[in-house]
Amino acid sequence: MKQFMQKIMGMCMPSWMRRCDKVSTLVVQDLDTPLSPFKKKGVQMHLSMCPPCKHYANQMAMIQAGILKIEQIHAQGEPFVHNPSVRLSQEARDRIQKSISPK
Amino acid sequence: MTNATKWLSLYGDYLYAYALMRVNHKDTAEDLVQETLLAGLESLDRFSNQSSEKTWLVAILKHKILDYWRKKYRHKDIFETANSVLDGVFTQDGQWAVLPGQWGEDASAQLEDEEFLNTLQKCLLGLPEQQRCVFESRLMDDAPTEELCMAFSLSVGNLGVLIHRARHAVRGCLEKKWFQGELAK
Repeated sequence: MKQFMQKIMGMCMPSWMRRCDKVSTLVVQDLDTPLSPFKKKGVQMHLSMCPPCKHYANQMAMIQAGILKIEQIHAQGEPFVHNPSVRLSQEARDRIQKSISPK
Repeated sequence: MTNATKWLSLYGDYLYAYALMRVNHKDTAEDLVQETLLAGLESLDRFSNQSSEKTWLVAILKHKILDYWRKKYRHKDIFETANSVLDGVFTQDGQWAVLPGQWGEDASAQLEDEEFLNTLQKCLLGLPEQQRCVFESRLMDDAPTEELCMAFSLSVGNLGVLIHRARHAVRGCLEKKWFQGELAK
């Protein structure tokens, strides 16, 4: 029954909704600029029937979350706590100090 | 102690570590810290106490980073020199040439793994720099599309393609460097 429904739905879809290349591009676009509700629905419909695209979408979302997490960790200033080697050298510190001192 | 001296002593290492993560070049990261503190001094009257000094300084640093990239790449054809990893990914009728597989049952749990994040960061650094800077500015700084298009002379369409390729390349790298190894365990 499910397969039959999917087949019927597939026949009613606009052609882009059947194409993995178009859908995966939209999946990626959505991470950047949210899609219109219509396109989003179409993408979701395709993903519900297409495990490879579903995997791809999950992976892209995970990469997005991972990169944002990396940024967040650095923005919170944790890395130099973990990694004392990522510090200004004394030489650089002196140079910067000189440049910011009132003339 | 002047404001800038205080900032250097309190946040110097932090700003440097952040800049280094972004530009991946020691001397440039040092210069960016210097420029950030100088810009901070100049715009001190615009600092509102609503944000912390640290947050305010990192916002200035992010502008400086984008400026650095803009100056470095404004006369280069970023789009042409970026990778084109999407070629051959799909068949002519729009289906996957090689089907993406699943990355384990609960791949998102990996986000808690520091080693995984290190691998992801290496994959980012593996992108051509001119592509990475656009991608990171968009994602990490939330730089508006129009601003990036203007800064790097890209059309909106090309910017989208560039970012798509960057994401796809990072995915391929992670699959190779992390998940194949993970799945083989």
